Amino acid sequence: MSRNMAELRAGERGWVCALRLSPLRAAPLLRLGLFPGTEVQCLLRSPLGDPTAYRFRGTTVAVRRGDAAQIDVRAEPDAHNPVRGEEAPCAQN
Amino acid sequence: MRTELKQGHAHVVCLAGNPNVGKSTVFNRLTGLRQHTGNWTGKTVAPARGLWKREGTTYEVVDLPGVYALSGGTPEERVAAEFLDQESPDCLVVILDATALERTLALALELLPRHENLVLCMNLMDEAERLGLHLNCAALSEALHVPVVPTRADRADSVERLRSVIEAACLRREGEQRCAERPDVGGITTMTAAERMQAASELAGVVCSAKAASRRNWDRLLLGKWTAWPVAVLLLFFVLALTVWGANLPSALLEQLFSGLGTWLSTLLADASPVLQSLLLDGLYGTTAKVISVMLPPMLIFFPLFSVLEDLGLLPRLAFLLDRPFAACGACGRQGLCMCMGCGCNAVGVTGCRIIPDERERLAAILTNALVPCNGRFPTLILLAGILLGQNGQLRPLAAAALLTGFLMLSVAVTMGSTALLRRTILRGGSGTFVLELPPLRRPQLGQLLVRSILDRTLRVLGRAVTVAAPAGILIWTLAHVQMGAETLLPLLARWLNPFAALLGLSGVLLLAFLLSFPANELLLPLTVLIGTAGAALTDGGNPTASLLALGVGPQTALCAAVITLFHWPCSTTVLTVWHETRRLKWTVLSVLFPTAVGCLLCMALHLGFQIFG
Repeated sequence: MSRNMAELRAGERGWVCALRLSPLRAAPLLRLGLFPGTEVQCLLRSPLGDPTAYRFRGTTVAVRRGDAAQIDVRAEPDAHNPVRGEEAPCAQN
Repeated sequence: MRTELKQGHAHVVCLAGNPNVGKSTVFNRLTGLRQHTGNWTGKTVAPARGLWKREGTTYEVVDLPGVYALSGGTPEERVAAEFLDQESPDCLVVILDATALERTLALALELLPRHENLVLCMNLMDEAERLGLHLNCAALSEALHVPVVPTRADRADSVERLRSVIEAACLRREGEQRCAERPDVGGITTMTAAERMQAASELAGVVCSAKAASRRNWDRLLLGKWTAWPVAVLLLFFVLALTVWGANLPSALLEQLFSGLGTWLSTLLADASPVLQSLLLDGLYGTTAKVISVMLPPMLIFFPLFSVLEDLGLLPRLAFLLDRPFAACGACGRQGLCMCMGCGCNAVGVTGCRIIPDERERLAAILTNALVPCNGRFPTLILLAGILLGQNGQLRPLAAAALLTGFLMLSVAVTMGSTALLRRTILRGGSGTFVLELPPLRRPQLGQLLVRSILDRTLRVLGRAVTVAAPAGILIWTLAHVQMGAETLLPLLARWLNPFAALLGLSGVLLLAFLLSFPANELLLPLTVLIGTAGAALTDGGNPTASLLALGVGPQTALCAAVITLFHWPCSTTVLTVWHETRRLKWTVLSVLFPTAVGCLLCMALHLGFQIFG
């Protein structure tokens, strides 16, 4: 079952399966390496609720809710298209 | 320095890398003090240059702006790509972050096919060690067929090996013994960005054996739901308090020094005509000395403190906190960073707005940047705070800093309101995204930071202030000495302005001082004293607070003056910068009119309030 990235709670992980953003909005995220297959962990929300800090590929990046809601994540890595995240996909999910 | 760079043959060495990988630290260590074009933030679009020499050979180092890729989507990427294409450096050094190898390696893979003389620098090895990471540089070197040199942030001499590897690479190229054609490792020349990231990820898995231990998580405090805002305000208060408190004594000492120097100069000029003597001493020297003694000490404290916050990685976190309210105004958190830069100097803040990708959001940020008081306005605000608190000449730093923090928060609120207004009227439409990397908190390189913040920021801003203060001093002296009937021009002009000034709750003298300080906000205080005392000598070390009080500046006038100090036209340098950044007369004129209108309206409202309720 896939959810969107904005639905991840602090501490939760997900694996990106699709970016439903316009190319212009997707560009800054892709530049930082948020390709489909990437493992993402939700770190914490800004005190006012938005944006949220996510951790992927060894770095922390702030993303607004509006953008995160357009990014689908699944609970487990895609076995057919594995992309190794900063930590090896583990079986904790 | 420029001529030195041009002389003879120099090998050009180019540094490339992601933002936040310690690239400027490596650059500073390679070149020492032999550089020009300092960076304000990592976002300076023109590359910084420096050099080192060994055995008669010069190595010129170009520090490209930090980029994530070369696809040309951002101004930094275009600059970096253009530079690599056009200047074809002898050696290209790609700086990797040992603690975030995967992502920094993707850029290296993109650059690998573009240059035949590549050197990888594995930076921040000490940090990786602390996180328990083991990096196999030899394996990386073998996989990519390029030299890989580890460097550390905690040891300045760790760039020595990098330097010799670069030198060897340059010499090899010169001798036309080009390194053997590198095999096309895994077909990187034809990879897409996603494939490159995948390849970088796999390679990082081979090179880096262990999983990173978690860092100490300060973000829970700095970005926590209940702690973030109090910590941010306390930090601001702390920086301001230290600036106010620390600047008092050196300011007084400098004034004494300059007044002593003035006496000595007057004995030198004893033979000159009295008019020339007065022009040079009271006009030129007096104004310049005043500007330096008022400006230099706060800058010497504020700029290094600001650099510490910057190097720690606190500024992106501030943007993270501020993004929500800015989003409500149709802007983004990056504008908060531009405002921080504006706190140092509005011209720098306006240039810094380049980090905002959306054109309309950027224009709104440029037009509102002058609503944040720059360093040159701080002395005035501190003094007015003193009068408002009823501390005649005796400044209590904590209370003054608290009031100053209040002033700054007012300025933030007005900036947000103005941005919202602009974004709903003339700059309507299109909202950009906000994606910002929050780099790990890092210990600043204090020695380097001090040198750079003094050389690049303090001296540059001071130099600019002095170049305008000197001619302005002569102009003002002339205004103060040219007779029109029974009076000189200054009091006459001040009287003309009186009716309009009264509307704003100011006096003609103050308004004239504001108008004449267009070249530099730093001139305001000396000007007020000068006009108020109708051109009497400045070198007597006259106390500005006393002079203001003698002019009848009470708390009400002081409050109006503080509001106008916060919100009025930007200084000439800033206006010029707005022109450079927008290339449109419309926006340049608006950048002057808009803050002026904001200040005038606020002052009129305030004055009206005083008349009704006071």
